[in-house]
Amino acid sequence: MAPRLQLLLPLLLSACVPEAEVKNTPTHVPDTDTAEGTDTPEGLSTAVVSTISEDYAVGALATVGLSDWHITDEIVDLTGDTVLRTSGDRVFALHRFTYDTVRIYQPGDWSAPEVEVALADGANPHDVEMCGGLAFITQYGRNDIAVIDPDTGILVGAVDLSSLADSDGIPEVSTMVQGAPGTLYVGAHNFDRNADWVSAGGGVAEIDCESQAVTHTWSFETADVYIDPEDTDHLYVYATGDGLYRLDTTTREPAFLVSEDDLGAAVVGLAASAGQAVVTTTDDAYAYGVGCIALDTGAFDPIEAVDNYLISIDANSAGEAWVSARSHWSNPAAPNGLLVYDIPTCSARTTTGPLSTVLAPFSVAFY
Amino acid sequence: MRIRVLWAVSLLAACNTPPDPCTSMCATATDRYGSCLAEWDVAWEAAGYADANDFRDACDTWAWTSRHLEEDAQQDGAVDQMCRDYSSQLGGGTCDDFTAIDWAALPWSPAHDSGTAP
Repeated sequence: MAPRLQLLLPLLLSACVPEAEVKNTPTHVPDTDTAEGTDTPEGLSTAVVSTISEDYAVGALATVGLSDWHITDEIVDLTGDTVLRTSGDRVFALHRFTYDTVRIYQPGDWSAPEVEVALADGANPHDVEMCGGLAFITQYGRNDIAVIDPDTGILVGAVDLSSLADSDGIPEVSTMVQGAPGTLYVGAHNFDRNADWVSAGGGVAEIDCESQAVTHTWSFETADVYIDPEDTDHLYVYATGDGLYRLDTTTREPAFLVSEDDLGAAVVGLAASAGQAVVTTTDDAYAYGVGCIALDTGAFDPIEAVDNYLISIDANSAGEAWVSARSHWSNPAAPNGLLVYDIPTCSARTTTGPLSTVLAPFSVAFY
Repeated sequence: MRIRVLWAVSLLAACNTPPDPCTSMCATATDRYGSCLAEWDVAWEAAGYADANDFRDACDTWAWTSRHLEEDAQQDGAVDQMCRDYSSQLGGGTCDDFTAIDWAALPWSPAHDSGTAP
């Protein structure tokens, strides 16, 4: 019922939504002469971006054409903490800390969400994957994964993650990927809320979508999970303070790839394609950079240092990594915007500055 | 005498008011979903409701809102029929019977608003 009621109002208001105004079209466009060009898989045309104000008070939705980097900005309001994800044929807007709601859109139709879901108070949704026709949503503030029917918004199940929890009862599960169809992997940060949020372990769990149950766990310090879409037999686990692991999902054996010491920095985000990853990094002085890691050897190849705070990195199926960059104390004048990298060639594609949005970019999804 | 007859007719008329099919449907839906949540070992809060009463209240509000839309769309009786259909479906007694209901669906096509065109 709650989704129903929440749907009615946007439906009525949608008649009043004006045409999205084009605020910003960059003068620079993708290099279409390179071997990689900007060819995109059939049907993949657009990056959809959540943007946020400097004080995280408000946000907006923007889109960027993948072929011409044409930006349509401030299409609809979002919260100041909205992560966007595409899974299945839907775009999910995860309204995180203190908002605790999820909106589900048909790609390109931003006039009203198809469904809006109210999660539990303090749920703090972080990631979503469609699996077996249902939406699995990690919740940073709870010890379970919400399982939602994306057509109706009704909670239709839950995955109990209490086995991952530390003494405060909440495992702080954030990132989630799908390996073989029907199998999800989540990374747990495990902070102790009763002791100033100090690190209290961490781990990775394997989840069977059909039974909605944890089928295996591994211990990794404050872990995040990533996957190369072309190789779902391997999972990449970044353990904070330690390094990057390659986990064989068939044998369930992890192998160490590269340490933070070798990188000279911590990895804060990873986007993989065809055996290589573009990573965003931060060093002990909180200086940010972008580089590449070969996913078979762990060899690191830096691309560039930036005067920005790198909030997120997201890959698309065209082998591009899109980095959301916002101003940083090291250079407050550095422009906000989106930095685009070609993953296979480990090179920057935005060579004349970022793709600028009115508010700073926060999260990117593709359709 | 005439007044007594009028009172009697009035009372009889009140007794003949048919029960609201949405009221009983919401009671059944609350019981059914509560059982499902218990089966999944999650509380009402996980589904976005404070408790069973909160869900029941949301269901009653859904019926009230739907009847406003029904009136606007001149679809007299459609919501009553929808509630009877849902009650019948929920009578199956399984969680799938509940989760298969699309609460956002209307049994008629909503009229399109022409918006703010001049």
